[in-house]
Amino acid sequence: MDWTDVELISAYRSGNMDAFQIFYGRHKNSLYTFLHNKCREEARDIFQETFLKFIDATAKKNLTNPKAYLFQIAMNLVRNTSRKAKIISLNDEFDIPDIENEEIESVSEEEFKESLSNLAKDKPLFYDVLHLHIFGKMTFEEIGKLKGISKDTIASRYRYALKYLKDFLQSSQLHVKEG
Amino acid sequence: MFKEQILRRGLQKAPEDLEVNILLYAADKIEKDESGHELSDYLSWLPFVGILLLLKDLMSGQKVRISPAVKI
Repeated sequence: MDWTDVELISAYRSGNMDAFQIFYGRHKNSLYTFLHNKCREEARDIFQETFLKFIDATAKKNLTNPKAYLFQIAMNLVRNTSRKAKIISLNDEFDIPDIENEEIESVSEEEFKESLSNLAKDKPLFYDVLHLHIFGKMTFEEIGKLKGISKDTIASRYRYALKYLKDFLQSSQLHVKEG
Repeated sequence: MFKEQILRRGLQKAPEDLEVNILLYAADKIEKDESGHELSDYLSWLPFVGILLLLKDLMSGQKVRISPAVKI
């Protein structure tokens, strides 16, 4: 049986360490990818600090959405560290065609990773949404609650992020062909 | 699908050496919380003690005298 995150954290609070280990295993790579793309040099330190703060928080309060809380801690720590994130205003009606179901061929793993790092640097707010939706498996509504903005804005940012990645990957392919 | 490509190829593995630190911290924290009872944990039982004493008197057939807390 697959336990939900809430059940795992509740079991951990009752003294079940295995439950915490499952929760950690479930989210460690997603969280680390997020931090690696946001701030490569500090990723390790912030990764550890995020989990320690999360553990402290579980002792003090009941978490209704532990995964969202974990990422909220990470985002706050990143913001405190870099303070470089620019505020990007985006109209709710920002319209980009749906490219989620398309596929980009002959792109290496390295190029994918590089495209994600570039997105995190150039458009940090769009990267956050893409990451939380794809790697964190959160719905637009959940991300909206976490960020304090409408789910329509989140959906627009997500589509913009996909378009950014697609353009980046296609232009890198073009460079390879030309070279 | 593009979404699945991103998920498959974009994931970075978390450093394994940090796992020990984090899990040890979690284990330490839960042990401390389990051992540290506060006074309020015990005080919550206080109202039931009075009821139990009252029931004991009733069952043993003793006269039960309840004195009002506030005199009118």
